[in-house]
Amino acid sequence: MIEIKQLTKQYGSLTALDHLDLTIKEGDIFGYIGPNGAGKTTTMRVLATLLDPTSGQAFIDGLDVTKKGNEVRCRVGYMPDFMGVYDDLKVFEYLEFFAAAFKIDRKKRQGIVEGVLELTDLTSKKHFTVDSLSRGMQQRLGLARVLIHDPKVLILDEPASGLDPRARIEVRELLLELKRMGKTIMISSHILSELEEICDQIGIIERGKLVFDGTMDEIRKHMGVHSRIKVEVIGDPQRALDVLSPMPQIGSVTIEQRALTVTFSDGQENNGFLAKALVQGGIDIVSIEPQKLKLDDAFLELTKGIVN
Amino acid sequence: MHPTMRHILGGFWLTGPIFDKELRVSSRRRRNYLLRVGYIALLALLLSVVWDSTVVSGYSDAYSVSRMARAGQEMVGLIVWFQFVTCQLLAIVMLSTAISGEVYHRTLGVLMTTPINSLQIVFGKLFSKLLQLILLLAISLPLLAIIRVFGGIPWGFVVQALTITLSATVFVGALSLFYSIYLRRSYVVIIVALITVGVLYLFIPAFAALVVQSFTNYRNFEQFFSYVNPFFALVFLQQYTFSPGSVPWQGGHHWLVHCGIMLAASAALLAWSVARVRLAALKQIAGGAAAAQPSKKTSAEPALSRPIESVHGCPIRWKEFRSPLLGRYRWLVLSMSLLLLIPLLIVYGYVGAEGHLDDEFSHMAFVAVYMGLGMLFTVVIPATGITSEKESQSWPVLLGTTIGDGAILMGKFWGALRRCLWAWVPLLAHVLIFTLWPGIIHPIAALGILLVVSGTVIFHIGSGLYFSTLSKRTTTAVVLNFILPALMWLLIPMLMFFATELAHTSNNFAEAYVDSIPFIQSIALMEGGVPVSGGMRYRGPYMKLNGVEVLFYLVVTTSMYGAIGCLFAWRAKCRFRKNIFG
Repeated sequence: MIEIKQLTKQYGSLTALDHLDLTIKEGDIFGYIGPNGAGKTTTMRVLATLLDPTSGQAFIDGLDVTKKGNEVRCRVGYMPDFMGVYDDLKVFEYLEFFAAAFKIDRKKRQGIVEGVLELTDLTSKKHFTVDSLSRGMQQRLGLARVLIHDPKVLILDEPASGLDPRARIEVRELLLELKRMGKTIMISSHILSELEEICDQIGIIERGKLVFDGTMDEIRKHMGVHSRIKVEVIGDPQRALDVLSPMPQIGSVTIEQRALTVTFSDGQENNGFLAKALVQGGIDIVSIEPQKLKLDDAFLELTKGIVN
Repeated sequence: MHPTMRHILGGFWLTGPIFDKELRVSSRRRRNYLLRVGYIALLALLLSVVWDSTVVSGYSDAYSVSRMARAGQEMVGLIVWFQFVTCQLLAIVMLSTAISGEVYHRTLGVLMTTPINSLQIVFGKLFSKLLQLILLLAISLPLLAIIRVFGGIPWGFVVQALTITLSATVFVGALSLFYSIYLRRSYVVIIVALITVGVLYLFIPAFAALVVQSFTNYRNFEQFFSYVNPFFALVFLQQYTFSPGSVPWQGGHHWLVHCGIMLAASAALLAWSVARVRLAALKQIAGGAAAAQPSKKTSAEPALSRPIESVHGCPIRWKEFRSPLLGRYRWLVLSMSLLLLIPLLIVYGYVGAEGHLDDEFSHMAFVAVYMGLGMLFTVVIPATGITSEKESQSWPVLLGTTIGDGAILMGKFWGALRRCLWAWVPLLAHVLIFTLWPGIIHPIAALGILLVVSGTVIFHIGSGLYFSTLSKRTTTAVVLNFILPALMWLLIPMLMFFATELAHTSNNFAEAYVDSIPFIQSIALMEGGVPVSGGMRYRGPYMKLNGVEVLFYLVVTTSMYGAIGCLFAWRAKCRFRKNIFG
């Protein structure tokens, strides 16, 4: 659905995007992650036809974004990382204005606006002026706006920034609902752990280059990070460490706050073997808990601290 | 020196770190250096014109030398008036963002969380900008010193004139700063400050002159205004210095009293500003920049007073036509307009009672004032069209829709036209009434005014939209749209006349150019079209036309301005998608 080939964007001597290649499949939620200034927003602006690339190509639904701007805009709903508001418009008028801007037939507009208001749970706010809404409500209104012309692709630049935890969960639920509706969603965020739970695919960008693109499992494999298991035992954990360390199946064992963190040398999780080895060594076990690699860890590992 | 004394004399207690920060920032701004270069270049150009017309006139060297003292007086007069007008205009522009800029960047509330107090904010802002203006005054001092060599210019005059300029600059600067506390947009501050200065310096004295001269001695009136009005003060200082005896009441310390009054008025405005700035900051802290506006609705108070309106036609045009004509200040604007309407009607009544209603000079004066008013708003409003979208961050969102660039342009054009037109109502009403009033304004002159206004409006809307796409901030676009007519209708004619003087050739071309200036055209139309019994004749600086020839000529110039306006608008459309994110 989205295809980027050798995309480069330069601002004077600064290279924001450096021969970027990226493909997003139809119906996927793509999480776009990178440090500040890595080129996430620039990519999104190019895809939203608001910025011309220096070189390279980008396609949405097979349409070149630089050549078929108007057709692309019909298929894309772009929500920038800021909320553009009109002081005097009410919520309903704001959405109807954009419905008219997308040339939706006047007779259908009211129904469509009511529909997106309901979907985004803003029906009770339709009489309010846009600038009187709270930030969370404004973000929801932004999402309502990008849905107004029923685009196939949603490009959302940090839609959860500045929201409280409840509002973030609501946005996440809304995005999952949109995925169920068949939308292809490209989303950037600094709330990395939230993307982990909703994204089918993750892209990590740094200094204009994609340093990784794949699923979470692929990230784990790519990084060669073995699954870790947290083990809590009764008594001195040093005893458990002495039992496990000599075993060839065990990759590493460390003690962290009276608990052991264990990895296997073949990278697999084998809780049964671990339990058996500890019991045979006379260690009483409180719990064995597999620790998944979090997106934050992957982000930190992959970007190696080169944060602008 | 005792530390306390050093602290007091250092002035830090008054300006705080604000002054230091402002100076640091302004030293990094290229425009301040450009301003100084432009200031000196313009001053040098004006002086060259005066020099050429006074001294170098093809006569003998002995005659030229004998004219030196006269040239010196005229040049010093020019420098003094140039400084007087320029510094006040720059003070209004520079201080228009003093507090509103802090509110816009949401830093006023942050400042209030530090030990910096309101006094330091107000005076830090004022003095840092005044220092820039003092620098401008200082860089022209060497010119004044050189010209003094020509003789005939006492130092006292130079010092007194500079002091009057400085006190007037402090006053208008304080006024602009005061308005910037209440008004969020700096171009609104500039307009309101200009109108206030116009009312204080021109309208009130003119109105008072009409009323007072019937009851009291005119000299008393002049004397009073020379104390409270810097224009009067400077005029009489000049007269007193170069023609002693022409102003009998002007004494040695008269200018000091005037400066004292101006500084006292400035102090009152600044004291009020100090008291209000904290409230503005608290409002911002309480609810963001938007909450600084008292009439804003809060989330707890839905705007139910107005029903939801359905979008029809082009959405941009719908939005433009839907926004209230006078905005949130409509009651203030309406009440101020009504307040000004009363003395205006008295002026009309007085002119009528004196039998001057069929006098061309009365109508030239009225039309000049109304043209100025109309042009002021027509220069400002279109320049806000795109930048207001950029400032509210809705521009990229709008360009992300399928609305065509042409539709956006036309929507903005009609929106600007709608908001500009009311500023032309006084002129059109005046012309219409006195055209229908038999025997006063010739119908051809009325039609001519309509053509002149049409051309001017299209021209300014086009250029305003262009500068609005070019600029990130509204104030920049507005200033650029002010500079364009100043260049076209002031500087270029001046250069033309200067060039013809230097080349000792005919200035027909320059006069023909001046003839095409809308302001001059409207004045010439009144001069030639009042009263009707004189027939329609047009006597511009170059064009001498009769009857329908005038209309033909005006159709040509209007089409020319319209075409330039359309060209600007087309360029604006071409720039819509360039540098969208500034």
